[in-house]
Amino acid sequence: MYRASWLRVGVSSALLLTLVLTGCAKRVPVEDGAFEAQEKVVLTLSNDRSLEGRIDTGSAVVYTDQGSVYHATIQSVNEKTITLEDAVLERTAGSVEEAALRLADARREVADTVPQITLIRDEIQGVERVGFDGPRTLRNVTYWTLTSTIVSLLLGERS
Amino acid sequence: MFHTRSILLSGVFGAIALATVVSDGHAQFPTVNVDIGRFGLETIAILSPSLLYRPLDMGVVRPDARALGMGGAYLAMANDPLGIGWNPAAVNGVDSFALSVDAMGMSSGSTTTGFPTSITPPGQSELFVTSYSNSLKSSLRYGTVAFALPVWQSGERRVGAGFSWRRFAQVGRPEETVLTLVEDRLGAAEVAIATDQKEKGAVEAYGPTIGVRLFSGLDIGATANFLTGRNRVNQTLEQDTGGQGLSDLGFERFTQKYSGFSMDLGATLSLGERARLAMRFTPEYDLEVTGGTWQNQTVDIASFVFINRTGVLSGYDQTVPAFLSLGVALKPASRLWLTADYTSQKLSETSLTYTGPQAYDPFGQELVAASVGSESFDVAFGSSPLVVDPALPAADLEQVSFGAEYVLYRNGDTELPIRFGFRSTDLPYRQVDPEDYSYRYLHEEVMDFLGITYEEMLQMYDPAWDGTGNRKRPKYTTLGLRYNGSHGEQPTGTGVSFGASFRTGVVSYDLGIDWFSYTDTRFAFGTPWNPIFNPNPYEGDTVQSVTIRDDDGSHEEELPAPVRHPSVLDVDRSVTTFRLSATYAFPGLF
Repeated sequence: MYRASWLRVGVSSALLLTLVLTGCAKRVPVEDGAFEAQEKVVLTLSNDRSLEGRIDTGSAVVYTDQGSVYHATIQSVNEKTITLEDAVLERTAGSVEEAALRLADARREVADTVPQITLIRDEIQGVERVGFDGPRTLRNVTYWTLTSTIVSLLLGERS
Repeated sequence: MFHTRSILLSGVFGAIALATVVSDGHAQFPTVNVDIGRFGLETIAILSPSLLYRPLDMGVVRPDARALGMGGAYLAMANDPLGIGWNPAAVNGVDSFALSVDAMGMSSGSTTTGFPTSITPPGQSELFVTSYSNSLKSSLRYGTVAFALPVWQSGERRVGAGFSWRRFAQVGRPEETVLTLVEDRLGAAEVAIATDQKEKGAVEAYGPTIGVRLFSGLDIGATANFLTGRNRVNQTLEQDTGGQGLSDLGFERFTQKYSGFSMDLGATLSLGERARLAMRFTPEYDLEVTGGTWQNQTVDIASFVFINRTGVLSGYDQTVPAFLSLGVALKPASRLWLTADYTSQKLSETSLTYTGPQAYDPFGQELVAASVGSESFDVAFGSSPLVVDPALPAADLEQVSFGAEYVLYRNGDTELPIRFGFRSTDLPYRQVDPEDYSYRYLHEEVMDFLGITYEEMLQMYDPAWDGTGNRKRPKYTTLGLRYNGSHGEQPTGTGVSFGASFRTGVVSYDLGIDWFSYTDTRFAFGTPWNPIFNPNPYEGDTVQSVTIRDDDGSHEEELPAPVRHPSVLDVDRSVTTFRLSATYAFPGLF
């Protein structure tokens, strides 16, 4: 009896937490392109590149270059450039993902870590502020809470 | 008068002793354990009538708040994972993987008439009834968890699939009864007697569904239902005197398990954009019912001992008749749907076949003889009659429903539809009827056994002689009662419903509420015979007299009426059911 109760609570909680916490962010375009260091933003750069995170020295960011996704740290920020260091290739995504996977066996990895990447601020084409999507979050939380409760009732019927 | 299958059982079974309310307490009573062995359903009809029959009604528990909001006129509208519970062809209504959940809750109000204004426990003073109520208990239950997805498409043809775990038939029927009494009309310490019957039970169905769109407008589908489930009953009898707190007077426990397999078949025919016809058919299937265990503990008012009875209900296969539902939906305006459904299940043709060890329905007088004056022992029954075809109070389910859905607000992918519905439902059982049960008296047993008249019995056997030379009045002691299985009227109710949905993006939430009214017939405290709560109707109800000749000459003697049945109560019920459903679509997941 007790084991079944814990199972019920565990399964329902895991379901709720896993699913509620997904997809609750939204991107709001910034018209004038201005952003603060403490704001989480997505910078779209030319040549299918983007940078996501807080643009401040020492911040961890995600840099995407033509489908290759890097985790990196911002080394320095000034009026002309943003310099990343310790960029580690995490994965390939988007249109190049399939090709990358296909060629993975034939490719020789010279180095996993790219020492430094310098981004020119003039190449920034768009700025989006990453915010909390209240309605979407409410929608998800409500649905998954209801689902977890009903799954819990179903499991309770069996205990 | 009495049916050949009828049984005779000791009224001791029904003797839940109010006497304990005014006694020194029951902790001092000795306990007698009685194993009544393996029995059949007609014994359950005596032991606990409410457990005799729970209809395997697949109509009232069909999922989806949208359906409830439309009064159950929903068959042709089913088009999402929850629609599997209505029409397997509904899986073709989804364009991407979709996950749906559904839950239902219930509350009820009731008005009970027919309970006596006062009762007199044996050896006690009269108690006056200030209130009596019998109501269904509120509950919250899961309805369905289901998903569906398209798996193949080519031109107009497509194949959809799904999986569901759903409440297939509701068998649990929790209820509570409260009786309040005072010792005199001017007011005194109030005594409250209550039964709390907790029940948790359903036949659940899990299994896959497949749907095929043969051509534009015609969808067919099938669901394989693997049936499982059980019913657990835990009833307690409690009393409270003058607000001093509840104390237990006894309990009853009962458990059964269900397993089986059935198929649902369905089809939907769309005639353009403005009309749909739909059908759902579930062929006859067998449900295996096993694991029936019963335990009852009460105070025997005659011997003032705790009687702890246990027994096993013989397993049986229940053949459940086919289920048919037909539906139509019309769209006279772009925001309006009008629907109608007809549902039928010939549940009166439900039949049972006992499986495994044979069921015997024991004679009550053997129990009486065996249970008095011993500390603890088992009782074995020899050649009691085998009941092979128990009389179930089954009746046909029929429901006619009408519904409407109107989209009140629409903006982009956001919609707010509202719904209304009306239904008329013949509930699939027959009311308990006083004719179902007949009392049997001790003197009748003697007369029957010896083949003599009442007068001859007195002259020959004279049980009223007290040894002092004074004739005592004959004691019309109730020996037991028979279950005749005649059954009463089938209850019919009407319901109105309302519903609303909120759909935005990939999520939709649906709410449905249904108000359903009908009149039930119940035994007082659920028992056909109890010396306190449903007393021997002979008292104050003599309609027969005989001439007795004895040492004092001739005089008239009153006898109980030749036909005697328990009292029943009318309970006007108003049941509110609500359902909450939600569906989440995952475009591009597969």
